[in-house]
Amino acid sequence: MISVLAPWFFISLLPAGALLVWAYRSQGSGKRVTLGSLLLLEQLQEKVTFRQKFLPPIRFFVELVLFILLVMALSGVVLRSNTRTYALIVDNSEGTGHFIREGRTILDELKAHVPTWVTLGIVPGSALTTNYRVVVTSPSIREVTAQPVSGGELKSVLEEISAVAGSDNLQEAIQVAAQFEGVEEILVLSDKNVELKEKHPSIRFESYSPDEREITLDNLAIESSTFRGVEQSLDIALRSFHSQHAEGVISLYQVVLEKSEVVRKPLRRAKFVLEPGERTRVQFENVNRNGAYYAELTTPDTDSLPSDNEIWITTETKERQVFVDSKKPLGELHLVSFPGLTYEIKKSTDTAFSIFYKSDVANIRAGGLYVLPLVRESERKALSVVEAGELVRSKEEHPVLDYVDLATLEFGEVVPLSVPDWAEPLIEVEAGVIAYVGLTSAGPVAVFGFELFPLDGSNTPTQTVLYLNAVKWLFRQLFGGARALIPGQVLREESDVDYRFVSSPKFKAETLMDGALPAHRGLLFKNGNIVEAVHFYSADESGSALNKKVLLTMPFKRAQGVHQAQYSIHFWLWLALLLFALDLFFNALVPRYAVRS
Amino acid sequence: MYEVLEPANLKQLELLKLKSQRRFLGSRQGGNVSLKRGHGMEFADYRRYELGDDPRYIDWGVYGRTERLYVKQFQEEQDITVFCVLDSTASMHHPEGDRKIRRATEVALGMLYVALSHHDRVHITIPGHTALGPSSGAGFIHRIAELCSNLPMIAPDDHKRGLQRFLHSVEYPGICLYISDFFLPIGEFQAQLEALYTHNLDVIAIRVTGDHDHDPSISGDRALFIDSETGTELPLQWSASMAREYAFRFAEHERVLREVTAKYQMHFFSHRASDPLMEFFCRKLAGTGVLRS
Repeated sequence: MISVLAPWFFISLLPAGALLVWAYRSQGSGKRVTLGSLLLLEQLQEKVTFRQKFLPPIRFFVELVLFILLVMALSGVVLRSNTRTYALIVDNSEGTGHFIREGRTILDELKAHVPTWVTLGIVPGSALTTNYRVVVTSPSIREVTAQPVSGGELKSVLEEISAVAGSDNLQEAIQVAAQFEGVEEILVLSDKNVELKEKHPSIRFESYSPDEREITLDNLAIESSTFRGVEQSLDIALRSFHSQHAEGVISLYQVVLEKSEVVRKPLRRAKFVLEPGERTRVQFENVNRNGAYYAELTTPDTDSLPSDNEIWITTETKERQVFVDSKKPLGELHLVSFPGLTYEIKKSTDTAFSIFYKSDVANIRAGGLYVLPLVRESERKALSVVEAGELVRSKEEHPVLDYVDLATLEFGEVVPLSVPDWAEPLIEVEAGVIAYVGLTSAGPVAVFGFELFPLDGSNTPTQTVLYLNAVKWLFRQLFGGARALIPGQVLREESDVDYRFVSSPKFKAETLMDGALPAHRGLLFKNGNIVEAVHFYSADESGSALNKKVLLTMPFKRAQGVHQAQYSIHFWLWLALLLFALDLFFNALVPRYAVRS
Repeated sequence: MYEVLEPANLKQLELLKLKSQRRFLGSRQGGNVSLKRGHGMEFADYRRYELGDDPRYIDWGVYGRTERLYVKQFQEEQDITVFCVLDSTASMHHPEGDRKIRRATEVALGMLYVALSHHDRVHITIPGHTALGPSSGAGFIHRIAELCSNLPMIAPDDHKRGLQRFLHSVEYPGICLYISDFFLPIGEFQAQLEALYTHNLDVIAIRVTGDHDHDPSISGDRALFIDSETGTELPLQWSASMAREYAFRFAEHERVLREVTAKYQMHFFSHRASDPLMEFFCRKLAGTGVLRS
């Protein structure tokens, strides 16, 4: 289908065409050639006049076509398929989750106007169909439609979208949508005014200018929490985004693990009263250092954004990393992107396990191979270096013992090991267990209480196999194991993972200790027997909505857009250039009739 | 220096002889068979012997067979007057690159030299300008060459009037070389031939044309063609089809010229100025009998 973006340029075709004819007719008679006699030429002229008064040369037609092409280029003639594609960007950042009326969020209101858009986008009597590709901004910018969907399907796609914590970078989302193949128009649903910073000449950007209505969002929010280690107190900062006097209750829970499930046990509650815009702090005394907590704000008044009424708190002071293992590549994970949190792919070479030789096995810092571990003083009596004695039992089916003939192995002096409950004994001799393996939150661990690297070489073949098996098993556990972290859930150990990503939050233990722990979306995970929390903070969702001009009604009104089709312009211009060259060719390069002198 | 007057070319021309289709009475002894019967080399007829006839001309063989006296009669060989009418109108001068007038002059000089070398009298007229002759002797050719060395462009009307004056001045019949490009309407051409014919002139029309007469094509599409004689301007959109049409009309015009001359039992030759000159004399004219060796 041919569309013309600026049809008024075609009006210039008539006067310009006439101008061209006039120019040809009045450009003079050309070269003056004096001949002996015009007797025969005059006869010829009569014949031509009879046939056609104005007989333009080929060059005239070339130039006429050239001009038509230029006009077409200027008027933006574009060839379009019968299917056009619109990109719909839905800003589903948490700010759009504010409840504004009758239990409906801003996002609900925005989505409610989409059917109107779809209806308005249909040209009556046209065979043109419109497909949509939908991009959401949160938790990360991504397309939620696997393939372009029709207007009817769009509704169901939109229903699946809800406000979540994450990005609201609309400019970046527009950039993403602009990359879609064949997209002609970008529509944006947002609670913020959108201005296109970078123009896309090939895409019409429709900025809908709805009537703006100032909406005051009545919201109470937990702004941050601060754990004071010395006083062992926990301060929780609250703020009112209410338009009027508001009161509420802040409840503190201790988070514990019971059978790998997060359980919140109520600790204390405190009432508060806030005037519009007022901030306050609620302090809870006697909060233990090593623990995880959960605070929740409830109010009898209207609260437009419930999600900022909770906070996960940990008083752990360790620096930590968050592991995310997945079968999908990083780009397809759509991981939450928060300020200060970046993800990097950890390759096997990056996370090669360590060998801890004569290290303290009671303080496992990382996954790896522990050989001849040191034991704690309290255990030294029972776990001193002793003669191994005879082999009592072994777990031959375990991969670490594949191809290992323990009968040929002389253990000599060994360190009997105390097997933790997360570990699995592999070899037990008369002196005790001398090898075990297990999975910890720090990584897979293989511990050998005997010399795995004997210098005499007598047992080298067997021990080498044992060592290689251990390495192999550790690697498989490192990169074949699985842990998927889900916000608000405890880290679970799963299997079948191809990729591992490590995020390194900027907010480290020190800042958690003395600074404010920002609200509110967080991630709890298990580190041994300790529950740890990482918070991803999206700063302005709670409060910036105050007096925000929320776009509620969206009459179909096109703003200034870029009505150009770059592809088409280039196409026509190239064609015109080609014809121009042809014109020169006709005119100069190949003179058809040369004057003989 | 004209090419035709180079010694080598003159030697070739001396071997040729201008041959008239008709016989004329000459004014003196010459190399052409005259209408006059008398002493000559060419046998003409027998007649009864009359008193006073030279007995040397009695054919005794006839007498032996018939017992009657007959004398042999011979065509007398007299000189002939060769007139040359050289067109010097503007059309012969344009375009300059074609050098039509120079070639026409060379054709005239060549033909007249052939006549002079056989003791004929020659007379040259540039209608509207001047005339020279009649005179004979090979040296006369240089006077003619001098006369033709700087010919002016003659207006068409002057040319016509000059032609009329020439006809009035013709006292003797003879051969008339009419050298022109003959870019004139056929009727006018026919009238001129008629006038020459009535003056008992054996006309040899030689058409000299230039390359642009054959193909006036230009570079580009448009041109303002100007008639060199009348100054008429003719703007034309030139095209390949027009070039083909012109070529056809040019050939047609020449065909009609040839037909008209044939009607008056005259010779017509066409010579392109860019073609070799001596070939024109030695092959084209000699081949048709106008010039004989």
